[in-house]
Amino acid sequence: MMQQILTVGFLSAFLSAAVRMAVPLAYAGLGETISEKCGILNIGMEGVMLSGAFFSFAGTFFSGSILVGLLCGMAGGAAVSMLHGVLSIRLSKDQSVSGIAINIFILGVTSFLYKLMSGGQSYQQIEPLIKLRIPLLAEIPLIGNALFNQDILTYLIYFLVMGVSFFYKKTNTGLSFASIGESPRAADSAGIPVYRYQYISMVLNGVLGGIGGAYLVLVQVGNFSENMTSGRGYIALAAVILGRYLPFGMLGAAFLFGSANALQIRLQAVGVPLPSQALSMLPYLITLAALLGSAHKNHGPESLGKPYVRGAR
Amino acid sequence: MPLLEMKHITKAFSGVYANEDVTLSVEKGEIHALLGENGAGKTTLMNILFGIYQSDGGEIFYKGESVRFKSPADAISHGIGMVHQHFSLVNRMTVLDNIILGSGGKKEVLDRKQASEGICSLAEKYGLFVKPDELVGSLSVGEQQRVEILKALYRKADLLILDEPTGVLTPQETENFFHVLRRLKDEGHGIIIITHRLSEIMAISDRVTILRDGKSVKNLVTLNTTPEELSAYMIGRPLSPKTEDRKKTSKEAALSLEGVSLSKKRAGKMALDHICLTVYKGEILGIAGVEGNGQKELAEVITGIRKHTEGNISFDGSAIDSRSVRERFHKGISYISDDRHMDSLVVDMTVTENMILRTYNRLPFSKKWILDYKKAENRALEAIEEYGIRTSGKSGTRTPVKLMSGGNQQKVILSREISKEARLIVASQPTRGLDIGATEFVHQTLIRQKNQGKSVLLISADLDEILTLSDRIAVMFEGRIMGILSREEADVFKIGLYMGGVTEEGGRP
Amino acid sequence: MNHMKKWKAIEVTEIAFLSIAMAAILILLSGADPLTAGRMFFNGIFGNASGFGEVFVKATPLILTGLGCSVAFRTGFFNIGAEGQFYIGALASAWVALNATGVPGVFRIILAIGCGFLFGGLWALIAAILKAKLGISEIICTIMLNYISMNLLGIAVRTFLMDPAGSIPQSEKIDASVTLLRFLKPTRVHTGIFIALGAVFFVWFLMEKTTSGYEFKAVGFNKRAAACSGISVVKNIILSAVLSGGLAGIAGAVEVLGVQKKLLEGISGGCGYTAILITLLAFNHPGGVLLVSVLFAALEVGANSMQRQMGVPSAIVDFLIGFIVLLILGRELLTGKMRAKEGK
Repeated sequence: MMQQILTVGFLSAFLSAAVRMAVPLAYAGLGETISEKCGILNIGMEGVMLSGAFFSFAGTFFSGSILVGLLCGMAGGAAVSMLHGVLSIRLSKDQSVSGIAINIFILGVTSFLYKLMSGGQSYQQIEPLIKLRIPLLAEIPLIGNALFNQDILTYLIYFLVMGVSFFYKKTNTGLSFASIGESPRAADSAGIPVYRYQYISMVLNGVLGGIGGAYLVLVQVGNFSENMTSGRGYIALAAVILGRYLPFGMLGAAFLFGSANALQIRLQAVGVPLPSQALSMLPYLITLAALLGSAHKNHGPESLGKPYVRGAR
Repeated sequence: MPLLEMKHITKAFSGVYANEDVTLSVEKGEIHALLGENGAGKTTLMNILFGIYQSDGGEIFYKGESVRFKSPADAISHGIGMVHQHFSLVNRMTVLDNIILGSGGKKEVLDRKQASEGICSLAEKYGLFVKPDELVGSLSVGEQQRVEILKALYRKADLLILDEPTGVLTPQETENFFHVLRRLKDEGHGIIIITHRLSEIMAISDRVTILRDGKSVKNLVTLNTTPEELSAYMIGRPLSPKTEDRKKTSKEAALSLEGVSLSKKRAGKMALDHICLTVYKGEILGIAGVEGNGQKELAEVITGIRKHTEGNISFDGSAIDSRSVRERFHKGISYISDDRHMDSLVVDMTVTENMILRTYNRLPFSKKWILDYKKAENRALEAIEEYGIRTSGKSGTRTPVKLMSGGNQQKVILSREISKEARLIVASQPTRGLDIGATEFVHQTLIRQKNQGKSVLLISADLDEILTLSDRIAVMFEGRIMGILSREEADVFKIGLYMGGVTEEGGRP
Repeated sequence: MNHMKKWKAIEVTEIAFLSIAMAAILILLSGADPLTAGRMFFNGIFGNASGFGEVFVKATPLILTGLGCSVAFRTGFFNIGAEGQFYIGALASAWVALNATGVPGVFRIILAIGCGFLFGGLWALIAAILKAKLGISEIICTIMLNYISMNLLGIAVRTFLMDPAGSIPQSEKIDASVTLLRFLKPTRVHTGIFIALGAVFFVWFLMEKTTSGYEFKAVGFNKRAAACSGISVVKNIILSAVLSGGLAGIAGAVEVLGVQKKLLEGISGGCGYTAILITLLAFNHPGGVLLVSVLFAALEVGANSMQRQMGVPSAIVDFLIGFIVLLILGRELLTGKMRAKEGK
């Protein structure tokens, strides 16, 4: 059996799966990086992704178009993030409390609406998004197929991560956004519209998280099931921490966690004699281990999670 | 035409007036001092000018135009810059990034090189020397202040508001700061300094406006007035010389530190550097120094909140190096922290609950595991009686501490920490933010303790307070004791030198 | 202070009104008539003895996990892991019940529940130590542990605890002498309800009358001031976490021994997560936890009846509960405009 695992074929299939599994985490992680750099911790990311998953499914099913589904997923995610935004920014509520409440609420909402839609029967698959093979790059041994024979949303995340990274390092507005998470008072005194930027970051958080959830439906599975995100939102949060709140770091962490998922699937396919539950635990165990590894190196924005009230004494 | 005119400004919070019919004017090239005690309304007035608050009544004219700033961004775009008492800087960003933050600029993509050049020439012009690539978090307070001023100048401020700028500077750094102010004045900027330090006002300002209880009481030309006159207007009554009985200190040591060190998280500097100190019974030992030079660490190492890495601490003859906070408290070491809301009080809890914060796990407040709330209430009632603590309305001892005023909160802490068992009171900035009445009360309480043979370690950034109360004065700089002066030989000049790290021989030790 | 009461009353009425309105809308969307559905709802709860008894059966795990969460939240330890602690407790107690053959009847029950408490507490301890010593977010930690715990149970019922006679993933039936007595036939109400009530009293006593409760409060409100006064922050966070996990573990044990009488997957009914909402609504008071738990249980029973009779999905309960919690969180918005007008 080990011989089966250590072949190029297995590794190649594994890497390909790893990238695919990592994409939803990367989208959610990027959205979360943006909001956290603005000082808002969105524990409700699980709900954002779930909302994105459900609405992308519903949108695709009723309209017949994947694009419409994707847009619905983005809107669904944005709505949830804005809810968190209003509670956190406008009402200065504890961000952890509001995040958890939102997750439970969205679980209820999506389960209820799905039951209504399906009336108890299971659904036919939607036609998932097709792969686009990039000619030259996909020839690269081992990694070429994994990185460059994927769907459009995967390619998009490469560009988005690069873009966001550039945004923070090299632009005026990016500097302003980043300062809000460190010291909203300093940002306010410098004339930066703190609240407006925070709301914008929440919209981006929701749209990206929504795409992450939509990806599960539109690319990976083809339909929706209750609680299908299974903790991916929280794993995305861990990816942000592990990635030291930097876009590329987050991407690397997402890939790590995606690999854990992929390993489970590939090992099962090969027929490793372990109960599937042992393998299902893998992503969660690895997340814990990764958090352990990044402990005490707190690189988080100084004002993360703290509501800002102008002029507070 | 004056650069700035504020006329009949009124502002109330929840029915209480912070500013009532306040009038102020500043010319170009004028340094204008805004004088008043804590709570007189100075910061509120300036916050209104800077757009953090909006006034309820009155008008503001800037460069002849009527204005009403809705946000700091609004004020900044009109050419007003403010340096707050607590700096608005991002510690984890460089000096350069902090200065250019949010300053717009037509190009979206940052050209840090060009910005750096611009900042350096600006810095040279005004004598504000900084290194653009250093992280703000690693700068000294004086350097951080320069960054703040550069921020305002980079945005082409014509009027600069400086809130208590010298509170964090040594006397020598203050002189440098005054040079910068004079350069700014020569270049035609208008400057408002918010302060309560009379000597500074006399040294640097052209005119003074005095606020008291929210109202503008008087407007004077500095050349024509005296500190006594200013003080009289500020307080509302002339300063009466205090006569109090001071008993002699004993020769017995209460607390003694030998070679005590504490290393800092950041490599290089020590938070405490081989401190040797003795506090005698019946003595008030004052610790002077600019905040951030190890005073807080000293207090925490003595009270047990932090563990020193080297050296010995003994109290009443026995070593206490390994004793916990609780054990030290029961031996007689009390702590009045400078940060009362973070360290000394649980503001969401009631007066009663805060009163037993140190003693809840002993008789009479608890037996074995079970609390005796009634006894705790009685203790609280005693304290309210003895110290004249004002609680809110009917709830009395059940009042959540967060609803009480600063002075009353401090009284709760005092009555808890200064119990019969207390033998050494570590008091850090004990009168910060308190009005005159509360301040006098604290001072009298501390002197009474000294006269009863107890010891007081008084840590304060207020030199006047140190000079008034202390039997001996030790000055801290960068974690070291620079020197210890007796009450008779202490003067501001000598202390100032020590605060700035200079010994009498002229060099750094 | 009178006008504070006025705003509170207005908020409560608005929230109640909006909740009922939302319930009606959801019922309509399900294709049912709200009034009839409402009748089916109340019928399900009060219509017959077994329905009414079912409320208390469902309330038992909610009370226990709810108490657990409220103890943890007191020190600021956001225990989101009650679900996982429930399952670990269930696993441990099932193992004891099935394997500790040397121990007779009642004692084995006590041992089993004790192990449930122990293992639930240990499961929470992992996250507590990681937080206290390494500063790792307990939210992410406990959630990861939830999934790990559920998978461990999945492995158990497919391997070492699997019923050799059958082929589905569940354990053997637990001997009747080791289960909790059902004393109110024909309902499923079992002695576990007394354990839950006992826990309510215990937590109340702990919080209000002991030095531990005082320390928990101090640490929860202001860690730093507590530390400066000599209270051990780490010790208290860990203690509250372990107690919290232990209570959730008891909930799992009680569910296995009293309701299921064997170990299988999916028996929590999501109570570990519902417990968090219960805590938020009960404002940390044990009596409040009891009340809200019974209320939620009643909602579930009523909703099941609506689903059976009229096809309204029972997920309506989760939707509504989440909705109410969010309304409460956002309540200032409900009265915002009115307050502003009055302020002027």
